[in-house]
Parts: sequence; C-alpha cells; structure tokens
Amino acid sequence: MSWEHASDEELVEAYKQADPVTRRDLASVLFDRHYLRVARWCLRFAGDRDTAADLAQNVFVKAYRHLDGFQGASRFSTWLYAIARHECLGRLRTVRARPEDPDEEGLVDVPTPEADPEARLVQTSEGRYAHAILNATLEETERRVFALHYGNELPLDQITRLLKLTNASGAKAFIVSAKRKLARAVRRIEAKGGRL
Amino acid sequence: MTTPTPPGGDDPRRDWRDQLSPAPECLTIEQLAEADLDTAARAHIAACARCEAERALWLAADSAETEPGEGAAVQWVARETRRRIFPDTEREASSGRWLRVPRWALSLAAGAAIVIGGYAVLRSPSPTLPATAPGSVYRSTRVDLLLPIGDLVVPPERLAWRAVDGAARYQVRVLEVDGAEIWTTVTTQTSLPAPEVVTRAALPARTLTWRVTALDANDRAIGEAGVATFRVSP
Repeated sequence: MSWEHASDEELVEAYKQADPVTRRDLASVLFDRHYLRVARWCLRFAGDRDTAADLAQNVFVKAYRHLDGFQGASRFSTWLYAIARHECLGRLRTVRARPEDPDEEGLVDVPTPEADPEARLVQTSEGRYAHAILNATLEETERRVFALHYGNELPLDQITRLLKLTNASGAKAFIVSAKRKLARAVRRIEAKGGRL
Repeated sequence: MTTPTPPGGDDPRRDWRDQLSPAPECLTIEQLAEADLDTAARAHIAACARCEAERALWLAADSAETEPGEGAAVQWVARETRRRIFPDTEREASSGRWLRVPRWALSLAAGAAIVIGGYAVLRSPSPTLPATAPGSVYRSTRVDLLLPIGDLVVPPERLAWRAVDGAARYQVRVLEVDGAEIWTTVTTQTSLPAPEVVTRAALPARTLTWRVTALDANDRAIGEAGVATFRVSP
C-alpha cells in the first residue's frame, strides 16, 4: 500500500496497528516529511549544524518512542514541535545557567499594585498586572523579545534567529529599548499611584 | 500605590520570569498553533505577552521559508538526522531505486560506457603526476565517525566512518563505558555490519563507546582515533 497521500495522523494510526517491520517503515515515511522542518527549527535554535543535528536526532528519537502515545488531539506537526521546543529549551538549561544580558542594570523591577483599586481591578480581570504594563508600554516585537528573553530565558542570538529579526543588532536592540521604556513607564505609573 | 520592590525579593529577572511563565488560563501549544483562533483565544493573546510570544515562535517555526544563507545547513542537518534515525532505510531506499532500473537499460549503459571510455583513453594524452608543492606536509586527521552516534531508536546495524587519506586499514573497537572491550576488528572498509556481540550489548539505556583508528601500510596509527558513544534510547 502506498502511504504517499495519507495524512500524518493516518500514518500514526496505521503505525499503531502495524507489525514491527511495517511500523518502522511507516515511521520512516512519516519522519521523512518533517526532517527539514525540525532541522530548520533546531538550526535556528542552536546556531551551528552539529548541535542542531544532535538536537534533531533527540527530537525524532523521542517522537519514535512516544508515537504510540500520540492521541490525535492535535496535529502531528504541532506535537512534534512541542517535543522540539521542550528538547531545545531543556538543552539550553543544561548548557548555561543564565542567559546573557546586554544591560542587566537597566531591568526594572516587576511593578505590583498594592493599594490602588483600579490597578487591582486590572490584575484580577485581565490576568496579570505586569502583562498589562507590557501591553501598554511596548511595541509588538519588543514585547515578544522581552517575553522570550525573560520568560523562557532564551539568549538574544537565538531569539534573533527564531523570530527571524533582520535589523542590524537583532533582539539586542529590542531588549534595550524595551527596558528603557519599561523603566520610564514604571516611574510614570508610580507617580499616578499605580494606575496604568 | 505601586512599589518598585518586587514580591519575590531583589531579583527582577526571576520576578519577570515568574510573571511570564504560563498561567492556568494560558493557551496550550495546540491552541496557539490553530490557524483560525477563536475570539476567546485572540482576546487572551492580546492580553498575555507570554502567549503572544509563543504564538509568534510557533508561526516562525511552522513557516517553510528558509532564510538566506541557511538552506545548505538545513539540508545537511535534515540529511544527517535521517541518516542517524533510520540509516538502513536510507540504504534500502537508494538500492531500491537502483534496482528499479530495467536490466536491459543497465546493459545498454554499460556497453556505451565501454565504447566512450575506450575512445577517451585512445585520444587522451599521457597522464602526468601533479607537482608537489614545496614544503608540503602530510596532515594527519581525526577519524570522523558517522554511525552510530548518540541516542538510537534500535540497536545499530552498521558502524561507519569517513575514509582517511593514506589509511590502509582501520582498527575498530567497541567498548563499555569503563573501557572493557566488547569487540574489535581490523578492516580495509569504511563501514561494517555491527556484529551480534555488539547488537546484543546495546541494551536500552546502556551507553557504549566505539573507536576507530586509521592505520598506514605498516600498521602505524595515522592521526587521532575517532571516538563516539551511542545508546539505544530506553
């Protein structure tokens, strides 16, 4: 039977019910569709092809091991992406304890609404106060870079590649301007008694 | 009143990380990857810097666009990954394509090659040796191991490495992590079927080391041995 036109999810279903030899063939057909995508992702994450190949190998080994557990609740490509993302972030945590920061001193403390009723309302109805400040203060790319750098602790060079930033200094320029804007915004918010 | 003193102490980086970590209401990767977000998901992303950034990351990852300058490296990583995951499938696929060529076509091609090759030999001038650059030295290299490396889905079926200039043969050793030898051989080839003693030793989660030393015609080692480890993923 030709599996050329089967969807990824159909291939996984067939894989689950196949004999060991056919399972391997089906996994090979399935993975063939995704080597380039995962290679591109890992390369942007790693920055060099040898590390990227190690990461991609681990991604597919994990996918192969857990293929029986794929429930079809999401697309296979999304499932594979989740494995790749986890693998890449895990690798990052093992190789460096703390990402570099071009302007460590400039990072403003997280503001917290203590007494102001309006600020409390923002915190309870819209989620988190800090997010509301980020939204009110930063441009879209600044916000994304800031969230990835300080939320996921991704190094700036990786963010530059992953978000395909094409400006001269990449994510570094956005993180510097984001921190300056945030520092100004927090001073302004303090002066207004915590109101955004 | 807003206070500049964060609740978690005096490390603003840690506090921002906490603020930007996923909250219970945050979207899963599957939800973030939806092509058409529903109203609730759009509203959440608009208010959540974390989910907005994750969505941007997914869209960039999902894009099939190759950036200028990364195409060759992406191709290499993809080929290398495939070779490491299903090496035998690749070999079978290539031999399968070859075998699908009709035999009469192979005979015809062979005959044509003989005729053209014979004509070329008769017409060509006498071969000359290239001049050796003054002061040139023989550069020794490390043996570049190809397979198996790292985590595997099944025990290795072959051991393969790149040829080294000047090597007459190669000594291959497979070892336990403590250095105890499992198997050794000497070969003139650059790949070998993994013997049963090695495939039996490659139990899940058990790391094995293998080492290849290039030898010259007098059995002297050339350059550095190539060393790699592998294990079948548990």
